[in-house]
Order: sequence, then structure tokens, then C-alpha cells
Amino acid sequence: MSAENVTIEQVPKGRLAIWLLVAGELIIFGGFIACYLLARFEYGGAFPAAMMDGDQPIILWYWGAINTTILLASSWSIVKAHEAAMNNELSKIKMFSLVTIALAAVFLFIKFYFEWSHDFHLGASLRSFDWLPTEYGAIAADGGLQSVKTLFWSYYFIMTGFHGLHVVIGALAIFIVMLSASKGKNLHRVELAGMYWHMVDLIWIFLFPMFYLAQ
Amino acid sequence: MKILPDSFSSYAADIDGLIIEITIFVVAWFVVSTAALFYGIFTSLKTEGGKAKYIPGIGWEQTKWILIPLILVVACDMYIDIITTKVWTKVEFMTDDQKAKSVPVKVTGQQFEWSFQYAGADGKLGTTDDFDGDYGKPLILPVNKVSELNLSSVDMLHNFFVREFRFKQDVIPGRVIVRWVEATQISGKNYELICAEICGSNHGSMRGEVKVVSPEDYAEFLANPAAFYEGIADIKPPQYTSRFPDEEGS
Amino acid sequence: MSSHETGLLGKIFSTDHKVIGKQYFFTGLLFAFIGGMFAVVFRIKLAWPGSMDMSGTVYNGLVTNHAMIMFFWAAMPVLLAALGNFVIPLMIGCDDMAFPKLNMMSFWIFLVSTLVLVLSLISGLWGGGGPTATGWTIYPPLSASYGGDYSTVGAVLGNLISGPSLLILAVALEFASMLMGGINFMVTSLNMRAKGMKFMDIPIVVWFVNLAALDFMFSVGPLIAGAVMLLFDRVFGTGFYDPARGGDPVLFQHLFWFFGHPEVYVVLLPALGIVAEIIPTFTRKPLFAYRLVLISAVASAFIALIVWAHHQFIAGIDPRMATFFSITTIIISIPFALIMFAYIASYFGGQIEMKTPMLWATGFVSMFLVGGVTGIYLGSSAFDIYAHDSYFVVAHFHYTLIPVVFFGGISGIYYWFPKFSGKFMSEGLGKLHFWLTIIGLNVFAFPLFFTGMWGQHRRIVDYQVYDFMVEQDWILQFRVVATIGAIILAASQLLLFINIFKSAVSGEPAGKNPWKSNTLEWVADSPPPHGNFETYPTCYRGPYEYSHPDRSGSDYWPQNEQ
Repeated sequence: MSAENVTIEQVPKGRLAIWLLVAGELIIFGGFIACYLLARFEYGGAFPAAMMDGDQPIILWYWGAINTTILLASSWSIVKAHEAAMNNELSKIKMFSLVTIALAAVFLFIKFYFEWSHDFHLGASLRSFDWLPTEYGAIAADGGLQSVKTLFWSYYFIMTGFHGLHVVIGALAIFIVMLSASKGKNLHRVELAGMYWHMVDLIWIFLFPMFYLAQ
Repeated sequence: MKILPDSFSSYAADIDGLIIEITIFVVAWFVVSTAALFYGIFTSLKTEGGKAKYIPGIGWEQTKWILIPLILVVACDMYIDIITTKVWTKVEFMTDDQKAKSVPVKVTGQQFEWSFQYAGADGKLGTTDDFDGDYGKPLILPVNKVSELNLSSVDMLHNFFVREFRFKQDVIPGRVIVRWVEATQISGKNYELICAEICGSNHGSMRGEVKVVSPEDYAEFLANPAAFYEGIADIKPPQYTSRFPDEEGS
Repeated sequence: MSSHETGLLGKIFSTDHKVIGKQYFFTGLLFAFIGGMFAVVFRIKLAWPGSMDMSGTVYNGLVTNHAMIMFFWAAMPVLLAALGNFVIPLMIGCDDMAFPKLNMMSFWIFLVSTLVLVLSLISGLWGGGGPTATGWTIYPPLSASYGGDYSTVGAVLGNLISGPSLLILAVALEFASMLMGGINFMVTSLNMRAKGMKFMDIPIVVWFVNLAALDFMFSVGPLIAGAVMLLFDRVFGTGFYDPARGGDPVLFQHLFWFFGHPEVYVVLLPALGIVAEIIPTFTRKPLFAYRLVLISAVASAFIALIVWAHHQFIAGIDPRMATFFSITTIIISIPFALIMFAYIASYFGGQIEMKTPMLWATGFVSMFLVGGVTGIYLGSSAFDIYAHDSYFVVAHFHYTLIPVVFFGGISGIYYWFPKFSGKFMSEGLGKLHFWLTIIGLNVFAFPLFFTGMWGQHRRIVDYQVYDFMVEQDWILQFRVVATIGAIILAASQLLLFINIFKSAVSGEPAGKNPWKSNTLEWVADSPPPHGNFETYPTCYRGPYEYSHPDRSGSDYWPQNEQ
């Protein structure tokens, strides 16, 4: 691209594209969130009951809180990487990018290893026909709770899973950007990967209260 | 040539009137716009050495030529909104009076047939004297009485459509949709009940019939459905022009 | 400037926006041909039901895939992707898209989506159920139920490689490709305009393609979420849309139509844009009220996002909600009425030369009026009680989409063909093509208004089943007439193929600016080389300054001339 015909470049094209991409992704998640909230309002009090195993909560708030902290910390580290890119400190870019990726890995490990396996263990599953209520035979007597449970866990797994996929994509993007940025090439891309990462963070800020706090 | 089917329900005439009113507006606007377009073309064809007028469409003097028609469009839109809302409210909502006097019927769609459940003599669904209509027999409705249709489905989406009533409603599994219809004519030939929402391979043959009977006949029907059913014809089985490969052996 | 690609591979994997535009264009034409053939087959079955044995499943499969292919694999690639790729960089005066590699990638993702589509069509070969036969709206529970076995990995894989699942995947890939393309369009148009080109100097077609891309981006997100949920319902047996498992089938209808209605404008706006370029060029006068047209389009793109439930008036939504959507739907006629009035006003006082592109553009204006005004009927919720899912609806949307895709799109082909090949298309063939198409359209679609009013409803393979469909002679005759029209319409498109290939080989050479037009693409050579311009043009004025009183000597004033 030759510079002389670019006249009205207020926002660099990369940043503009990422803004649009972020807007598109937020609308997709907006769709999920809207559907979940609609279902939740429709069923009212049945949803909190669907999250329980007897009187024990299946979703444990402290895992969510830990993961929120981890993602917030990773947002901080990617900001540091961006700062390093602006100051042309190549080794710092590499370090802070790796810190971000490591935090993402911890997030995913907690999410999938500790939480999902815990959920599966208690019988919650994406495959609704496999759902085994802990109090067996309660299906007829529970007044439709069984079907609400299926719906709730469908939403829980699909939304946290879709978010997890975005964590993976964001971490991969940071890794790819880091490879060239730590050699001093395409330093502006650190900011772009960071913007995407903040979006992943932001979505989690929506999911956390929806699934962990509002029980 | 008849364009619309006969109207045999208390609100069919309202919907027909709406169709006619909208048609007047729509045809008028279409004719005026098309005439303007062709007038514009044939008065502005290329002439030897002619020069086009420079009309950028700026300022009221020029834009009034499109803004005044636009104001008329807005007025027509508002009028259509009003008459639509009137008819819609009449068709979709039941007044308390109608509710009090209505006869409930349960209609259930499933692949690929309709079934009906009647309220019995007490006029209420969900009581012990409810009875199922026979398969292969039409839906029986009383004339000049509000029938409250409780529509539901056991599998797919279906659509309960009777042309003569101007009645069409999607039927959805998992919920009961309540709408009303008041037939105004005892049916000579049974009205055809059509599934108007795709529901699977044999959606095209999901046909039923509706028989509108006099109040006396309806009372007789509720009192002794078996005897009444014997007196009326079965639903015509689907007749195809050619064989459906799907249907082989079934 | 990027290096020129050499060799065959370099030409296929080109990052040049014009090559990518052609790739989209010809892929779209191929699929338009396939979709058209489907329509001809089922129209013949409808007119002469005894002529072939056809099950309901096969018939519904043809109908469903006709709609899917025409919309997502013919209209979208041609009117959004190909058009945007062809004209945006040239008309704003830059050398290529903002992200040429991303642009190439969008096309290749699109091509993968066509392959998945083909897999879905032939999925009967491995017991995947064959083509999707749920109607193009893929409403659950019909689209969500398959097999009913989710217990083993094999069963889940089997659910995944069945026809509808593959179709959903193909559509998702197509969306991803169009989203990437749309982001590219918007960034290019915002950042890479020629020196001096202010917002109000941008040609309408560039504006409209960008509005379409923006509308697409805003509306498609919820459907992507909805499609993922539908796929999970099908493949893993989740309960989003299944009432037995707590879900709600109407939810999908909301998500689908929240996208589905703006989607119509995604293809409509580019076509309106093409016509806005052609009318001033051939009337030799400015487009009437550029700013009002633009404001109307922005308004319509916004209102398009709040009208979706007019597809569901009788689908079990709250009747009070329907009143709101009925009003918004009728309101959307206001911006479109303004656009149409402005276009009609543009003809007055001109020096009209009825060359082929102008003929097609005029055909668009006149035929789109029919589609537009019949939309008023369907916006009325009370009328929709009777007309929902009937052939009245079919006639209405064919009267909107055929003018949009055929008349709008084809006028663009005749208009820009000299630019992209350096040769004129045959005027005689073009005019014959026009008259056959407009006759075909009207003979095909007009009778359907009447059969729809009589109560004929959609997706029925054999109307013999219903007495009311056979008891009157005219209704049988109208079905035959409509089929004859559809065949004329389909067959006459062969003239387009003939014209394109004949003109590409032996057309009259066209210079840089054969139509004496103002916009910047006519500054480049025909065909433009990779990189487009020898020196980047500077823009001094708006795109439609024809017959300007300050300009002596010629009746046009190119944007790049002082």
C-alpha cells in the first residue's frame, strides 16, 4: 500500500478491522446471552433449582471467582506487552505475552479439568438423554424440573464452551503475534491481539455473574 | 372467476374488507408511480443536440416533488396501520363476553393428521365427560357460536388453516395456543382443514375437514357422538395424481 | 505495490480484488444455474403433477435447496462479495482492498462452504438423509430431530454428517466468509479513499454495499448463536428448541428472522446502489437528492433490524407484539418509497439513452415497485392471518428478489463488463435477454398472487389432495402459466452466458470510459491492471455532476478532473 493515496486515515486499518471483528463477536455472544436470559426469565425460580444437586450447588462460585481474577490478570499482562511493544522492548513483549498465554492455560485448566469434570461427575451433561438425576425416579414428581435442568445445562456448557474456544483462539493469536513481534516485526499487532483478548475478558465478565453469582 | 373463497366466519368479512382497502391504496400508488416513471422516460428521451437539465434535488423547491408524495405515503401507512390494528384486535383477542359463551375444542396436530377432543355436555375441557373425536371424521363445530380452539402439537410445527374462516394459526409443540372462530354458515360440503406449515415428508397430505352443524345437531353430537359419527361421511382419503414413492408398502 | 502473480497458481490464488471478484461472480453464476434448475424441476411437477413421481421429501428438498442456494450461494456472492470486490477499490480510487490476503481467504472459505453444501446435497450416499427438506427456514423441531441417538461417538458423528447438519455448517462457513469480506469492505472504504474524496463524494453503490455489510454484521450474530444451538440440538441432543427438554421452538424463529429480514436488504441495497450509478450515467443528469437517498438507506438498514417478527405474526407470538411489528413493517415502506421516488425523479428532464444497462435498471425500478407495494399487504398483520405461507408470499418475494438479483445484478454486469474485460457486450442479445426476462418474471410470478389469494399454500408437492385446488379451472391453468413463465425466465438466462462468453472473445473494444461516466473506476484502463491506476486519482467533486452548468464542452465532469 503506497502511502500517498491514503488521505483520511484517522484510525489505522488494523485497529479498525479488529473493532469491527470485536463488534461482530459481541453480537454473537449477545445472541447467546439474550436467549439465556429469555429462558431464565421464562422459568423464573426453576433455573436456580436446576443448578442444584439436591441442596448443594453444582457450580461452585469460587472457581468462577478465581478464573475471573486470572483473566483480569491476563488483561494486565497483555497491556504490559503492548506497552513494551510501544517502547520497542522485545524481550518484555515475549515475557508478557507468555505470561498471558500461561494465564489463559490456567484458566482453561480450571474451567475444563476442575469445573466440567466436577459437573459431569454430578451428572450434568450436554447430552441430555444421559442425564441421571441424583435422586433417581424423581422425573415425574419434579414438576418439569428435569426439562429445565436439561435446558440450563445446555446453555451453561454451550456458552462457557464457546467462550473457552475464544480463549484458545485469543491465546493462539497472541502466540502467533509474539513470534514475529519478539523479532521486532509487526509490533503494532501486539495491540490488535490485545484488543481481541480484552473482548474475551469482557465476555467472561458477563458470563461470571450469570452463571456463578445469580444462583 | 372467484378470487377469494367464500367467507363463512364472523370476522372473515373484516379481513376481506381489509384486503380490498389495501388493494385500493396499493394499486393507486403503483399506477401513479409507474405512470410517473414512464412519463419521465418518454418525455426525456435523447434528442439531437439536447442538453439534460441539471437537477441535483437540493432544496425544497426541488425535493418537494418527492417529499409531498412521501407525506401522502406516510398518511396512507398510518391509515393502513389503524385499520390493520382494528381487524387484528378483533380476530386475535376474545372479549369477556365471547369467553363466557364459547365452546372449547382441543385440536392436536401430529405427523400427518389432526385429532380433536370435545368438551362434552358441561362445556369445559379437562373434565371427565371430555371425549375424543373419531379418527377419520371431521371436526364438528356449532354454527353462530364462538368456538374456542385450543391448539397444540405433539411433534412438529403444524398450522391449522381453514380458508372459509380466514383462520390460520401455527400449532407448536409444548404450548397451547387459544384462538376463537365463529362459523356463520352450516357447511354443505365440509370445509377443508389444511396444514400450512411444513411438518415433514407427507406435509402435503396432512388434510382434515371441518363440518359446521346447527346448534341442535351439535347438542345431539355431544350427547351421543358415536351415533352422530355414523350419520356423517368419513374424511376423503388423500388422492394423488401420481404415486408417492415414499408411500410404497405403507 | 505488491508483486504481480505469475503462473497458473498465482492467478488462482490471487490477492487482486478483481480476480477475487470474478471468482465470486462465476461461482455465484454456477450456483444460480443449479438453483434455477431445481426450480424448473419442481415447477414442472406442480404444473403437470402426473408428469413425474416425486415424494414429498424430494419436493421439499428441491424447494429448500433452491431457496438456500439462490440466497446464500448466488445472490450473496454476486451482489455483495463480487460487486464489492469489483467496484469498491476502483470507485474510491485505491489499488486494492485494505487486506488483500484476508480477501483471498474469504473467497477460499466461501469455496469450502460450497463444497460442504454439495456434501449436504449428496448426503444420501452414506445414509445421511439426503438434501435438507425442512424449508429454507430450517425451523426446529423438524430440522433438529434426527436419529434420536446421541449416546456414542459414532452416533454423534452420524448426526453430524447428515444433510441438514452439513447445510447448517455450510451456511455458517458462508457467513464467516461474508463477515470477513464485509469487514474488509468497510475498512477499505473508510481508510483508503482517494485524496479529496469526502463522505458525500462517495458513489451511492459503495455506500450501499457498506451499509449492506454493516447490516449483515449486526443481524447475523444472533443467528450464528442460534445455528450453533440448532446444530447441538441435532448432533448432541441438547434441549434449546425442544419443549420436552425445556426449550422453545419459537426462539429459533426469532433468531432466524432477526437475521432473515435484514438479509433481504443485504442483497437489496447493493442492487439499489447499482441502479443509482446507472440512472445518472444514462440520463446525463445528477441522481436526484443524493443525501436524501443516502439518509433513507441508513434509516431502512436500521429499521430492518426491528421488523423481523412480521414473519411470525401467526407463529404463536404475543398478539400485542405483532401490532408493534406490523407498524414498524409498514413504516419501512417510507424510506424505500423515498428512494424509489428519487430514482423516478432522476429520469425527468434527462437525455435518456436506453442502452442495455439502462434498460435493465429501468426494469428494476418498475418491477421492484410491484414487489414493494405488495409488501404493504404482508406488513398488515391481519391480512397475514390469511396470507401467511401462501403463494401470495411466494409471489411477493419473487417480485422483490428477482428484480434485485436479476435486474439489479444483471444491469451491473452490462454496465461494468466493458471495464473488466475491455469489451462491449452485445446490445442486441442484451435487449432480447431483457425482454424475455421481464416477460418470464411477470408470467411466472403474477398468477401466483391470485392462486395465493385463493388459498394455495406452500411446500405441497401435489395439490390434487385438496378439493379447492382442483375445483376451479383457472387455478389449474394459472399453475401451468406460472410454470411456463418460470421456464422462460430460466431459459432466457442462457443468453447472459452466451453474451458474456461471446463478448469476452469478440466484443467491440471499449475504451477507458465507454459510457462517459464520472466515477473513478472509469479513470483506470479497461481492464484495469493489478494495482488499478497508473497514478492515484484525486477527487474534486461528487460522483453525479452530469450536465453541470459550470462545465462547458461536455455533459459530464469526472470526479478526478479539476
